[in-house]
Amino acid sequence: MQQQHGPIINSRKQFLLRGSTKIIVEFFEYCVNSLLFQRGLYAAEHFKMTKKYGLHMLVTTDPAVKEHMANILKQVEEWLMVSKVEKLILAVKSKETMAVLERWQFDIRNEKDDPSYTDNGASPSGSRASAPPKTEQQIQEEIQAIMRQITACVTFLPMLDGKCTWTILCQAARDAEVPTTWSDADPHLIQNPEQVKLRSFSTNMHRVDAMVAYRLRDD
Amino acid sequence: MVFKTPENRPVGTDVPPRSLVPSPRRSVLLNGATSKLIVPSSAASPSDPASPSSNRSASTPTPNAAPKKFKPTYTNLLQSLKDSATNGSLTGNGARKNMFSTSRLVSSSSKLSSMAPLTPTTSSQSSPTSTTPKSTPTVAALSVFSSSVLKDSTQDTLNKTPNHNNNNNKMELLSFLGKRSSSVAGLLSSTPSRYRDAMPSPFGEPTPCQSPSTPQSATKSPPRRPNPQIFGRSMSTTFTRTKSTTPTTTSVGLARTVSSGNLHGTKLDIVSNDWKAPGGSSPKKNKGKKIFIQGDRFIPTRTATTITDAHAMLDLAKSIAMNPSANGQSSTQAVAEACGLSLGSRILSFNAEAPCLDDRGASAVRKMYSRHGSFNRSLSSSSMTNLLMKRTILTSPERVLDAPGLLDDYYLNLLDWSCLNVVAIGLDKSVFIWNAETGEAENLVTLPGATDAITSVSWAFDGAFLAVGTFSGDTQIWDVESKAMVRSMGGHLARVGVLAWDKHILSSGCRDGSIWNHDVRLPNHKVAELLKHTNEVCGLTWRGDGAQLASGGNDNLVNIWDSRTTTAPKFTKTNHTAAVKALAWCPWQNNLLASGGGTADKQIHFWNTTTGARVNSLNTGSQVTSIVWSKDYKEFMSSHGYPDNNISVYGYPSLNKIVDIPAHESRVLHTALSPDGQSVATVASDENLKFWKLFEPRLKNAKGGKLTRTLSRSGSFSAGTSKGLGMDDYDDENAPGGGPVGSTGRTIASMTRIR
Repeated sequence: MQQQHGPIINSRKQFLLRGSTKIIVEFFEYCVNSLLFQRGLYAAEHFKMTKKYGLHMLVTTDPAVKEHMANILKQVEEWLMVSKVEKLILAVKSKETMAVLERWQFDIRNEKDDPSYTDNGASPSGSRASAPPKTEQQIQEEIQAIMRQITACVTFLPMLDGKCTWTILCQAARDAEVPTTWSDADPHLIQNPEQVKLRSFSTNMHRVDAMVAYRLRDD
Repeated sequence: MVFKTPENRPVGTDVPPRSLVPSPRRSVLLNGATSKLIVPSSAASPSDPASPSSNRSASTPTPNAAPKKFKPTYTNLLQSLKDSATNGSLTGNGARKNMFSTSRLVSSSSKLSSMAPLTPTTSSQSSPTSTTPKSTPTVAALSVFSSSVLKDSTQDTLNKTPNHNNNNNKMELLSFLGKRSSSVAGLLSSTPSRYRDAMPSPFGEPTPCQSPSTPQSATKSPPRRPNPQIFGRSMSTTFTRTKSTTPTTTSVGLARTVSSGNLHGTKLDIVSNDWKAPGGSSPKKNKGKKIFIQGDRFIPTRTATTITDAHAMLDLAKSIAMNPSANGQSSTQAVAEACGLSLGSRILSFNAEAPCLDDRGASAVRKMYSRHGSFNRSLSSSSMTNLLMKRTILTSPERVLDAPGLLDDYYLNLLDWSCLNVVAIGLDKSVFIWNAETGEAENLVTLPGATDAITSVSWAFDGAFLAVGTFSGDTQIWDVESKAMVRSMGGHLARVGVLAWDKHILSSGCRDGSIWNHDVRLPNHKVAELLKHTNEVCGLTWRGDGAQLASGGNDNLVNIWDSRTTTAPKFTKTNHTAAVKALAWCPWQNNLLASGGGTADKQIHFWNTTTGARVNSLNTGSQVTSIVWSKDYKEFMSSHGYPDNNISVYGYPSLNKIVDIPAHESRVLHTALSPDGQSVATVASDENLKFWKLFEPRLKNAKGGKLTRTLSRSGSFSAGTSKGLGMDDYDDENAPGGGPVGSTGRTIASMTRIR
């Protein structure tokens, strides 16, 4: 009985993890795309409008940027699947000084890290008074709220003057397998930052907390 | 409810009122309480003639407060009292107002000791009190409380005693209620002063006025009904008790109430106004509702846990700051934790930089200049497993060519090997190219100027163009195919000692310390000027992906530039104590740079160019003239000067010396790696150009035949292996068998002689 039970639960967890990873990667992709547009990192003609999360999201059309992003996201997805990602960070830097001007941070936590998924029926699922799993609709609404908030952030973030570039950082577990295309980087922290916590969303596996840190104009 | 039926009216029994004799003060409070309780009970209005209904209302004074919700606590009770008062004053429908006013008038009537006529309501109320005056204290107490506690307790008791004459039961009940009522009085007295102050005012000083009224009332009100009326009794007794012990007084008080009925209109307004101020004020209501304003609208998700966590972290950080020694080893970790960093994780970034869309038009040209192979090719697993195998490196040169006229200048860079397997060497005024595949050599460039000289050569990545730096400060680009100069880019004020390509960008380092980036496609070629060095730039090399440029100079600096910013270097390293000529990027770790210092330094430093950290250092014991990383092995080669003029191969990151070869008779000036990554060419001031097979590919049973095949496949040299790997000096002109090796040696020699 238990022998049968174990793999089923594991596969269920795997199933949830895959779905959750997909949601997070997709969210991150749209988020980065949106920020690239909102913060004017690329000209507006490099973007096209698509409908996603019940919103009009702008997605880049440039093949180079697309490929670059796909490369990153592919690896991020791999790490997410083995639960090695702790933070995803989009840093916006000045091209002139290479100073970090903005830092969008997405903390990813494994929310359902309780043993009932792996325990072989030691604690029957009925005993745990867990909330019913979130529907796709609920998750999408939460994401939509974040996206709206990010769009709204433009109103208070300082203008990015000069040419800027961006970098995606991934804070991964120390034992994560790192391909040669990735290397250790400095955390791109902002000195004396102004931080604004944004909304969060959670899938049935992960919880994502968003935050933006930016540098105030040193007057 | 127990009191629904008049038959249940238990209070008609005789209970001596003396047993509960409240102090005047208490009586006032009780009055206040009773009146408050009665206020919302709309059913007990004078307009409602039915006595049962008024009874019920008296027993359940707060219609909106469901009995089941009550808990047997006095705070609840008090709350209910207040609520009822507020409700009464706020809703203010006619019935309630009337009821309200009657309750007032009960007390105020004592002042107006006037007419006896009884309205139906009042008479019904007054009649029982007159008949059973002794039971009044009990009823008063009941009406005071009217909460479920008392209802439950007293009403049950009352139900059990349908016989109204049971005095003993009543006595018990009375004593019980007396305790309760006193405690309630205490509670009420502890209520905010405004309530207390407000309460007596509508009653208009009841106590002094009552004394004259009592005798009249006693005579005027005859008992009409046997049916006891709780409300009426309660009102009357509270006042009468204080003044007189005569049982008849109660009925008088009520009679007055009735008689003052015509004043209701005016009195009511006054009373309700008085009541509105204290009772109807919003605080009472809010107290019941409890409105919480949660969170900050700017900080949507701040939970209690994060704040407590933050406090805990703050405490932790404080404790660390207070006694750093106490924590000892773990202080770093503690600090990291307090700062929200986790030591168990690493921050990674994708190597490739974000694409820059501004120079999109250049993509075609960029493709033209793009390099053939990727420096980032991952090492195969087989080579990884063989890494621990013993390395055997030939300590004799594979080939030796003559390089006459080579300027013995450490600061120049006169040797390069193209991806098309062509070696270029600058010999004084000329550049010779030697095809390692065919062994053919030819003179590509000869400068016309009398004092001019070649100071640097560098192959473009496709091997079709050669950049040449000159003593006069020109940077020339030569087409190898047509042997013609494509363009000459002037501007430097001093000799161009070093050149480095990144796609279409040619960087040139000048003696005055400036580094220029030339876009070779543009007429206005100079696109950037990197100014940091204060002395001659002698080392310059682009990272494989073109994201960073490392430069070393005679000012002992190592500068690491980001390709996107030209105003200042990303890092400036001052660790070297001599001129830095040797610079090399690690092919398998993108952000690892090795830099070697000159005679006074003898160090090789390894840098993480992302963080700027020095990750390793090695003292070589000799001047470092160049560093070459292996593509296949995790090794690098360094060439040295005095005293041994040797070349050494080290493992990385172990930094163990694998082999040390005394290569030349004087200091080794320049080195170049073959395109297949196996051989290294070195040229020294002894005017010898030697080829070393340092990074031979690992082969099982590496026999001669296989080796030959590898060589021919890789095409680094022609089939000279058949003749053996012996030295071929250019002096050996008459060597038997000739062969490509010998001929090439001669070719260069002859060329130099021709020159």
